[in-house]
Amino acid sequence: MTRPDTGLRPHRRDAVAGMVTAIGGTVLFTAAQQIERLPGDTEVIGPATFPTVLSVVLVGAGLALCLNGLRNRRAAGGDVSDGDATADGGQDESVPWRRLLVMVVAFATYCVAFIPVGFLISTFAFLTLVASLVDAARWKRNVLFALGFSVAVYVTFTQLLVVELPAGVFG
Amino acid sequence: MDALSGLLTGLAAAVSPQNLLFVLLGVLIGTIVGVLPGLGPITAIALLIPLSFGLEPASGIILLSGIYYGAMYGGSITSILIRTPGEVASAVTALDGYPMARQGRAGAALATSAVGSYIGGVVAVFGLVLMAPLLIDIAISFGAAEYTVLLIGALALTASLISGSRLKALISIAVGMCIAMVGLDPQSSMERWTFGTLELSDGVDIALLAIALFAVPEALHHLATGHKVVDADVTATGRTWMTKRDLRLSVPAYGRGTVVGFFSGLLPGLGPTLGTFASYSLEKQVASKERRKLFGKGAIEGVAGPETANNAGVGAAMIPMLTLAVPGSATTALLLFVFQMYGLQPGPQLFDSDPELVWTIVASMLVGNTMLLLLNFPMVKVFVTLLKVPPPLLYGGVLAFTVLGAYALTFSAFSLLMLLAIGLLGYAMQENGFPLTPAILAAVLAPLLEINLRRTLVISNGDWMVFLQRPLSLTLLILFLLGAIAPVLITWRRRYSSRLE
Repeated sequence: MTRPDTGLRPHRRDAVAGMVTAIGGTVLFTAAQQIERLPGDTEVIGPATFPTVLSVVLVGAGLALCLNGLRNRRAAGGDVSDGDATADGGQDESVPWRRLLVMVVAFATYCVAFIPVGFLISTFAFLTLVASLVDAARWKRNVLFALGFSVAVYVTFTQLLVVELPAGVFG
Repeated sequence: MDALSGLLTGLAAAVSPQNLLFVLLGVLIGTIVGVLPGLGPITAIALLIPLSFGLEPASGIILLSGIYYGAMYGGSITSILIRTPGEVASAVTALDGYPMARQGRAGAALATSAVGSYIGGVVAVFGLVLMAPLLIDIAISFGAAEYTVLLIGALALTASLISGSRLKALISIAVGMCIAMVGLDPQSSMERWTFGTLELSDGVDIALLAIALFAVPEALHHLATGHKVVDADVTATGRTWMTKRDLRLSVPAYGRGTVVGFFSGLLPGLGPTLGTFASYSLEKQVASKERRKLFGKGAIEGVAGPETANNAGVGAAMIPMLTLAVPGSATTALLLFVFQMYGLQPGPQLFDSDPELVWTIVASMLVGNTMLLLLNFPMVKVFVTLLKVPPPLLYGGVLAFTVLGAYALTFSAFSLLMLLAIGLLGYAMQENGFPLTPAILAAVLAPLLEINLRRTLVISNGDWMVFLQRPLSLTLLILFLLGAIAPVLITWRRRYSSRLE
């Protein structure tokens, strides 16, 4: 269940993740200070109280995580198993950055194009693309799957479940 | 209405052809999604919420609850066969289930898990019938102060039960609560963290959050790692049945698992997870010396106990959700959201105002569990073939479903941008070992906590001592403190005894 400790790397990642959390918390804290109160509101807990407390928690916990990461990094090989969340869907192999980036861009484009281009075409294009990025040799299968999936889902939702999907260029 | 007669009325409604169909559909879809590697009950429900839009409340909730326990069962199948649990609760099953599968005893592991789940699930329904009236009585005497303590306790317990870093769990909870703060303040209607965008003033939809945090990161991860085929050997499942010896070892574990699972499932914030872990260590404790050596290497009790506890916990987690509107797990939190989506507010009033609905849902759990048992013995081989769906097609399809689901929630382009943004946040968190389940639970609990805390302090004129002055809230506080101290003591004792060994 636990991810094998790969030495320095997880600790460095913890340090970075903690830093990012703390920075995010600071941004939220600044934004929380701009939340206004109703004139005459004298309650102990106003609209800004929870956001303020939560952003402080983020900053504090982020800094603590960062320091932990740095400290454990120095004491390399220590028995600190931070970062083992395999049971919660955590992963145990490293992800190739290049392909990840391509996938994220494809997904982002799909999200943006979904409404203007329409469900059928955008879904067909997205599925064909991502499946072929992983397994280009079987492009025929990928095209057939993409076609079948988009048509079947479109018909099921628009006809059977009466959920309207963007028709896009067909509309 | 008396609880038992309520259940009977509910049962009559649950076996109407239409509702039977929805239960069947729910458990089937749930099992299918649960079997798909990496997709658990939360993902299943979140992705399929759009399916229930056009349905009546009872049918929709029956369908989605069916998906819940179907997905739990499907998750056990993947835990046993390829060691990929869909959620934390079934991670324990893999400890002994997977070694059993490696020894060619997958059939026995699957059978004991199916029977255990059934027993746990059915007993939990009867437990619900017994406990619900009790809890309703307590719930009626609950004021804002008690709810505040209960919710804080739930959040604290969530953080305590994470397998990895507590600090990361805390950050995850804070992130979930922060997301829930976005939008208009419920009391003063002031804008909070909307950064001037009109769309953000509506806040972030819980279903969108669940889809973005669970389905998107999982799918992105699999697509990025780029496996073309599933690399696990899942052909040899063997016959799905147990030998007499298996049964003899399993039956006492069923009993213990039910009790442990039910009572830990009742605790808000913990849900079934604690129960499965507790049941596993209990089975190990009570095992004979020779059997104890087998734990982790394919001891059938190690599958039977936790699986029973898991489903007993699922049923039990519905109790605080229905009677107190305080969900016990991330999945029940999502179900709570579904109730609210239909304009229903769980709690003691719901039992008064719409008893038939409540009891129909409860009774459908009985029907659903029975269907699962009947379906799974003959159909396990069919479900197993799902494990061979090529990952690029599967996860591409999952991403398409996330976009479809996000779109169907509001029919706006903004939802899709939120899906992308939160999905990437979730991906970054998951890859760095932040547990994501606490974030969902926290996002559901945060607004409840805020409103009750504010109410308490308005009533007490800003005096924080009110939490200690009310006997009921003081009792709850003490209980939670004990609950928080106990795990620390247990870990301490375990460390101490392992040092002695």
